[in-house]
Amino acid sequence: MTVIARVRDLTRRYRDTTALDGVSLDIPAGQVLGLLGPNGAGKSTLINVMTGLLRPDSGSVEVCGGDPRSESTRRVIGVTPQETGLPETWRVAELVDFVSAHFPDPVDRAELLDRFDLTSLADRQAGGLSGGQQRRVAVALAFAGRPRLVFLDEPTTGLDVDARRALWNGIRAFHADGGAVLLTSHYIEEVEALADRVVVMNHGRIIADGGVAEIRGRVRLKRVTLTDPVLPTLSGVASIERDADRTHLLTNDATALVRELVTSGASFTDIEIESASLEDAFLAITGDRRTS
Amino acid sequence: MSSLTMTYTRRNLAETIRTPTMFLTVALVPVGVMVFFVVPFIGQDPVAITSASATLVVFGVLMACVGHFSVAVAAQRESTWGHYLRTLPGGIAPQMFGHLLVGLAVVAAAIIPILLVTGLFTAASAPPPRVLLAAGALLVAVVTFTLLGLAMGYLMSMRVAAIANSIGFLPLAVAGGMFFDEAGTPQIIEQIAPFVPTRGATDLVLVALTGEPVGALSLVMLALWITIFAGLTVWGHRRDQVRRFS
Repeated sequence: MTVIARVRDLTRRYRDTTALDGVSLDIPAGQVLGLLGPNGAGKSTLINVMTGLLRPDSGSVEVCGGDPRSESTRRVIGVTPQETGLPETWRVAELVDFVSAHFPDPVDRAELLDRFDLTSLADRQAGGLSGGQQRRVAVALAFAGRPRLVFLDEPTTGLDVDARRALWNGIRAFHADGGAVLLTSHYIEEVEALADRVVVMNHGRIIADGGVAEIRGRVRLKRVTLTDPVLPTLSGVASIERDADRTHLLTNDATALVRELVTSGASFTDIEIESASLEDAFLAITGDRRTS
Repeated sequence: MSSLTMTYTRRNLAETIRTPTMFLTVALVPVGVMVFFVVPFIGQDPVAITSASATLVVFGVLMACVGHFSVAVAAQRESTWGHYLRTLPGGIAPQMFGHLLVGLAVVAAAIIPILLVTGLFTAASAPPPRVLLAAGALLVAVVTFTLLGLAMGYLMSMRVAAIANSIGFLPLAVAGGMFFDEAGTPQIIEQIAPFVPTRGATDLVLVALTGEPVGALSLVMLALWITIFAGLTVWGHRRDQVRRFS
């Protein structure tokens, strides 16, 4: 297994907060790694350190065999600009050509635009595009230089379903060619769809690390959904969430919960039991679930 | 010159021209002052118009350098795009050269119209070697005001830089005695002008162009100002790097 990025004992403080607290992480070549964590968990700081924008207070980073600030590393990583910051007067094709000019062997412009479904926008100025279109352009730019590792910080936040699919396809095509991706996302569904591996961060530390199924299985949660329930006080329920007439109970032991529901004479009209999603697992791991 | 430098220059130039507020101001204001307020009154007085034209050229350089570099640097610092550029290979040099070359193009846009008006419609004249010498002196003015612009870009936010640009030139020019002839200069200006960088730059160009002696004070002050602006630029640059990237 070739390791394409190696992070050791990374610590980074801002005035009075610790954004990274002893983070160690290896990313093998060709892996799509989904980085999850609540806001302020340290995900963006980690990416900024790994892309050379920030220096760590202590610890080491090696990306593609070199310092993230070295020329040789920059040639083989792909980073996404914030789409709101694209120079407004530049046309999409000009943006692609400009970024490509930095790399020794860039992707052909037509091919790149096609991969991210941007061909029809090539002659439009960046400032005139919708937010979603700008986002797709910004993400496409990360792939312009044929990188070996791409950093995507919330690539699809705020995108509609079609745009998200277009981006996913572009990322999958890159992955199929052997590229590695470090991906953060608000949509756990997205990590579930794209990632080989999930790392969960909270308070600047890595608190879980494994395959998608493994993380999901780490918490042996079941989701029990009831319709129109009148519930007694239940033991063994991790959380209760209500939406409209349905109530979702998360539990580690579905059998015991059902038994308790029946013996306590709780009323409900329908019951569904399913494995918890990655999102449920994530929220249980970070202890971030809001009970309502 | 590397092709990446050319890429940056082309892109910066295209952007400057597509959002031309600063560019047009710089290209039109100095020559406008020239056409409406200078040529009609002293256009046919060879000595007066020669000095006045040279002064306006320095004014054009002031507007172009400060206007271009302060906004370019402040925008670069504030924009997420500027952040992103640091993650690309190629180093910082092509970006800096790109800004510099575009800055020179803006300077050319400011002074060429003045030189054309002067050459075509006035009685101004100077011997070619003197003109060459004055061009060299003008280069010092370019360096001075470029450093001022850079320092402003590093020390001010883009908003503040834009405001400083729209209200700052006139006081600087007036305090430096740029818009007065020798006889009509108010007492107060006479006293403060030598300490203002615009005066030193103007004097240097005038002494090169006409050979008429000027007070040494303004030239010494100019050297001091160059040192100060350079120091502020370096300090501002370092502070900026530490704040954002360390």
